[in-house]
Amino acid sequence: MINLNELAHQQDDENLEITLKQHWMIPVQISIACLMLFAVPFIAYGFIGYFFAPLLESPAMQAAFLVILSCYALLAMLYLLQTYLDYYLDTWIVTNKRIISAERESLFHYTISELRLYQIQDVAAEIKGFFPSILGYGKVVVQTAGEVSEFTFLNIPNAQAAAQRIISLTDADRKLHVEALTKIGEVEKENPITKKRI
Amino acid sequence: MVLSLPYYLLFIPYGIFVLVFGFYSFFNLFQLYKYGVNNTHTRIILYGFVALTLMVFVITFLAALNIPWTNTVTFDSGNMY
Repeated sequence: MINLNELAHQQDDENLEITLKQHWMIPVQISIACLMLFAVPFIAYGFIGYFFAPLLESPAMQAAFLVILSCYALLAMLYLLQTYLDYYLDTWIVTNKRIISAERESLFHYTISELRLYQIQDVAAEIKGFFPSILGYGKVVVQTAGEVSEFTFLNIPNAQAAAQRIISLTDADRKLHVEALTKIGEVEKENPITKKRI
Repeated sequence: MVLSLPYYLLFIPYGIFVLVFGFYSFFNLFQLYKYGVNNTHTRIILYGFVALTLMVFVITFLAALNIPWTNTVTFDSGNMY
């Protein structure tokens, strides 16, 4: 399991700033789907009991209904687990040095990618749709100069605030990065031998 | 032609379904265990799903006790002419 207090390759001066998860509206949508899925067998049973009552009295039909119902319940649970894990296992961790994106793509596909903050070129927030506009959640797109050219965080609560926070952390990290590079340059100027060796 | 099939033959497709369900559930829960954040929420999903699955099997088993599985269902194609 992932421990948020001990990130992989964590540097001494690296602090966890924000943990971004999808908005709570997403599990609410999953819960509504869950209720609808589990209501279907009861509705079907009521319908058959009302219009085709003799069917339910036959032991053969009872056996068939039992097997179908059991399969349906297991299938519905599996579907909900998959859907919930798609939501739950998507996490974006923002530290003062980097962004770690952990995303579940499918059952056998899980991606963990990392991005240094000083590589970020642009951060944009996009809030689109009825519920996102009311509740303020949306997409945060981070464009980079690194290997992965774009990071997209979906359904982020307070998308604009999150984007602003990432921008301010990026500015701070870039400043530190430039200072570090300048220092290396000065050391090389003072010790030309070191430069030659490199 | 008359074809008599015992009810318990339904356990064959059910068994296959349960195997597929077990396979997918196992890998989903494994993914959750491996990549989920180490907190109570993850454990609730993990144990909750296992508990619900067991509950479905127990209810199915209890309901199945009332059904005469050795009885047969007869399909008679009859004489068409």
